Amino acid sequence: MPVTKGEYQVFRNACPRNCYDTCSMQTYVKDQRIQFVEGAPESSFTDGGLCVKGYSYVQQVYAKDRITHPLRQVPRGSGHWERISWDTALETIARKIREIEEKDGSLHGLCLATGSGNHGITNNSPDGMMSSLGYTTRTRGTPCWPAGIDAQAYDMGEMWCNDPEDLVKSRYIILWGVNPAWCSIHSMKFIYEARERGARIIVIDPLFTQTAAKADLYCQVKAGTDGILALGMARVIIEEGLTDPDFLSNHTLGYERFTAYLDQQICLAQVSEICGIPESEIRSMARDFASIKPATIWVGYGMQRHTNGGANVRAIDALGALTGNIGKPGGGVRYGHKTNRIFNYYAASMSPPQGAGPGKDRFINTNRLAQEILDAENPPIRMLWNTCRNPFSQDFNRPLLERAFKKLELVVCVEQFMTMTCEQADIVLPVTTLFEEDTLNVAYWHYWLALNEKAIAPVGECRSNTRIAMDLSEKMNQLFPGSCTFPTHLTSEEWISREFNDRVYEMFGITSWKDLKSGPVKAVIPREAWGDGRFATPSGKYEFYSKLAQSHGHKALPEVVPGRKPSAPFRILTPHSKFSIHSQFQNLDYMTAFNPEPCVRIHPKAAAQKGICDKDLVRVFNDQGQIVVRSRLTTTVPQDTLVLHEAWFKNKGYCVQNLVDDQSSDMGVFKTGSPGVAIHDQFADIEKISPAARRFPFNFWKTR
Amino acid sequence: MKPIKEIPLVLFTILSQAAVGLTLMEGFFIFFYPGEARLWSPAVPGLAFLCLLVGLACSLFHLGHPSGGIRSLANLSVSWLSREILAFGGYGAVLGLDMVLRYQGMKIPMVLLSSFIAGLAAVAVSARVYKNPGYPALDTFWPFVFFAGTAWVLGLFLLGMICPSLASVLRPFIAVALVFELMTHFLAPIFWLSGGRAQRCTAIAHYRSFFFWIRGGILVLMTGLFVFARSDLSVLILVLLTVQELIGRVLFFNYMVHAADHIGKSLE
Amino acid sequence: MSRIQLGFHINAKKCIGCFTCAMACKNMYHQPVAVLWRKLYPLDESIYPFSHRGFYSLACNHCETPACQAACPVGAYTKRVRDGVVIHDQDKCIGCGNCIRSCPFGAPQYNPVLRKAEKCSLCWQRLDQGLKPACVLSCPVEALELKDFCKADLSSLLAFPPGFPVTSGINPSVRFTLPQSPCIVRQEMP
Repeated sequence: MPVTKGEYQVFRNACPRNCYDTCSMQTYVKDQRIQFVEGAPESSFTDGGLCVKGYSYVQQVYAKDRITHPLRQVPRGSGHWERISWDTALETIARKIREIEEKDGSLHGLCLATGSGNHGITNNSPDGMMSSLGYTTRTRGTPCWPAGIDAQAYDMGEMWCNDPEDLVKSRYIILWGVNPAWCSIHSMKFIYEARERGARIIVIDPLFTQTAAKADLYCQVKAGTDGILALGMARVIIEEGLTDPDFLSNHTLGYERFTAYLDQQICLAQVSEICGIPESEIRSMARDFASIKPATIWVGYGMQRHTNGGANVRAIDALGALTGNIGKPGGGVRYGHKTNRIFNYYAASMSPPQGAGPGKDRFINTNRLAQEILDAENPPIRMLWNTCRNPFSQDFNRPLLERAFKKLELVVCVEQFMTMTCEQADIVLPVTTLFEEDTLNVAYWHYWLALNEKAIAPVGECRSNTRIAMDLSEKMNQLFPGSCTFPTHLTSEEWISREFNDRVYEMFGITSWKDLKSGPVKAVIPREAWGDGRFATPSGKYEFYSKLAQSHGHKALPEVVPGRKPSAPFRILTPHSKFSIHSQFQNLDYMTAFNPEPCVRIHPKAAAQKGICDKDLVRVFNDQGQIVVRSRLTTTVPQDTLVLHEAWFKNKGYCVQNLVDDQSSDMGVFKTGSPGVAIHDQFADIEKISPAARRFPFNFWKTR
Repeated sequence: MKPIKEIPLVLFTILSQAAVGLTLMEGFFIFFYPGEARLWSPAVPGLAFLCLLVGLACSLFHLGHPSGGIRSLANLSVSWLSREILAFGGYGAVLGLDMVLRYQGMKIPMVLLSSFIAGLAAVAVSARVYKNPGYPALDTFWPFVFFAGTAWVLGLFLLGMICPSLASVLRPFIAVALVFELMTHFLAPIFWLSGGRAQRCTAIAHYRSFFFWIRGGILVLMTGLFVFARSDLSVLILVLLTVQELIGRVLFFNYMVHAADHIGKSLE
Repeated sequence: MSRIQLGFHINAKKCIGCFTCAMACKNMYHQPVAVLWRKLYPLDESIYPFSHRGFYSLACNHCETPACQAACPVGAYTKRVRDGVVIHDQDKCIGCGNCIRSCPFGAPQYNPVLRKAEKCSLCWQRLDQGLKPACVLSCPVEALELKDFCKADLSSLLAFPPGFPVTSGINPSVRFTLPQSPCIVRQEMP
């Protein structure tokens, strides 16, 4: 039962977004309506507060333009929508599934496209739903962080990092290509506290981010050259004898080969030339990092979204190992962790119906959805079930995706708003928000576990992913008995309890999942990541020299790997905005009030060369496509770079994926099944279309 | 072009100032030209009263809740807006009395003097309402200068329309008043250019506005007509004069830059 | 009884411009979309060398001599004796807009739905229950603090930093700490 505070019923919730912070929340309900949300005070990470996105949730739930009943579009893309009943929608879908099976003799023509739209643990149910129908086509991999995961797996055996709350113990913090001031605001207080305790904060980033503005030192590295910079620093550390010999001899493998490589191949002058940071700075940073203990590096996800992304992360990992900072309180090379992914994932693990016979699922690279749909034959992909994902806004090579969708016979989109993807769907099913379903959440950054309670009845006819799976199963079995094994009548309590096991209870120090009703709990962390010096690599040591990497077609050592060749005058970076998580939140009116319009950020000197002034209408274009948008002149970006923050602005047609192709990054296959995407190795040109509003009659009066 | 806001206040200020202008100018000429028989025409307070009444009615429509207008007298101790309502109320009362008395054939100088003083006070208080820190360009003597100019020009002209025999006497006065308006129109932005950021931006906003140049053009034309061509007083000219006053007031209510619009921007 | 005057310390040195405070206010009161009791003002490059990297987060400053109170013809504004909070009484307001024109900080705003003015209440109802204002509670880096201006030592804080309207006689209950720049290593290209 929810707690009653004053006139409110208070429910526990957990923000399920793809975000470092995964905040524990409290939801205040009165008259069956959410009045406001707050951060859970119990979590020392969330600390009672949310973020600009989390505080906009009430509007997301009650937005006028939220989809609250199933819709059908005939024909697809026409904008002719009609309201249909759940029964009609599910029957149409069920009959199509049966038709595919009869036509092809398998369900490979049915493809599930999921993404990071909802990390609630029971939101794996669409995967379970597919399994329970038979053998289908699945998207595998993630566009987010795969190259870095593999890099850490080659070096240490697994991606794993200290509790972010232990940043306060650090004396030297390098925030490398990470912008917590926008993307993990609750981590900032630990960084500030570390500084109050005497730590130095260094930001290395191609962009002068908000985090850079709060640092003691900002180094503008050229995008994609992070690995070379790290190797340069490594050379200095070895040259000047600042390594940790104990750690190196007891816990690492291949140190000599690595030293030899650095000796022969790394010249500091060249490094400086390539990464854009003066030799003296590289030296002093290397010295400080090696001599001030404990020192830590937080590695962002941007630097590994390159064709040499995994190599970049491996080179940075090496700095942590050389100096023996790995495994220490306040130390380590932090990237993320999956140690809390120990649930049963019951909702995802269903067995096929008896009639399905032997077979296996067909996997396609999630990061090349368009090309994979076009390439899939025998059978082709006929039906796409899209949930927790917005491909037309977020998937790479949007022009190609438009072609690929033409090949599909039925597109089902499970959504809350009329996204760019819904516009290309035949059937849209309305899905609940976190407040209308029960689930659980853990993070990939901090170590808290939070329960997510159903605080209100679903708005309109919205249903959760799990409920949709149960209802489809019921419909399938009603029409074609025995065709689906997905449970049809589990309560939400049962769904949750089936996710728990003894390991979970032990890790979080609870005896029943119901304990979570009185607040989030933090994992009992016995020691720092790799604190016992035993690594999960084949050798059990930190591997500078990884045969495994070599066997996967990479260099065995963290070596210099040149980046992708520019194909246009400007590099384009499409990082996260502070107002959105991918295509979520920016569409809300509350958010539009703060951030009304997209823009392309360009350095004033580059703009001057192109004759572009602030707020001019410009065209950013490359071989793949174009974006028409207003310019914003800012010295926060390098002169050879254009920055377009990825987001879905309702009714604006803005989509950075017009310019971003699906070039794979170097790593990712090992741990996530597909390589990542070189999202930041993209190039384009820019030209002016028309100037900002005319200034009559005195153009020379310029207000700044 | 952005939509024009505060039209009710534009109308209220222009009409109330026209009314006060009539009273003031009539008083002035009665004092200096006591022999002029038509000066005591009941049509003068009559027209002024009508203007004021329509103006006050218009003013109600700038309220989110016009029915609450009566409560605006509640804060006389501190609010200049409350005092403005009181002042115009008082002026309206005396003006009404004057009108009634004159239609009864009574010319009582003390009543005229009272409405003269009450009108002058009302315009001054009205100008004081706009002198506040929100709009640094108006947190000066300019609201009073603008309001006085409007009262002066419209008062003289309307008086001339009611008393055609006075036209030749009034013409040079009108010319002087127009020169005054012309000067204030172009001097104010120059004055603001030497002020703080909000004041300078106000000046620039004026220079960038079509309204500013249209009003300036009309004023130059009018001034030319009266200074050099000794124009007659005609309805067409009255319309043009009214239009330029309206435009001036649109500028006043729409092209002033608020102090808060420049938070975070350097004073430079 | 000693006097209390609550006010905000805007620590732009810590502020990360995340807009959380402004949205926390919307979350609590759900004003119409365009009505923002708290706003973030980005600092231009003459105040902080990079645009949109320094911010002032401002709402009502609960001034000692409020311009809104002086402007209001119906006496809708009162200043609480107990803590100096300036409260706008929606029932009295007739929507004349004079407070909106008068406040140099842009605190009162017009609510087009109610056709009345409104502004930051400093969450006085929450204060009375011993809770923090929504914005202060939400700030992830303690860059927005509530202080008693009668007791706190404000000597190291700025009353009128660059980019904040200089006023006399109103005495806004707000003090600032300016943002700082890191040491910057970057290559200038030709």
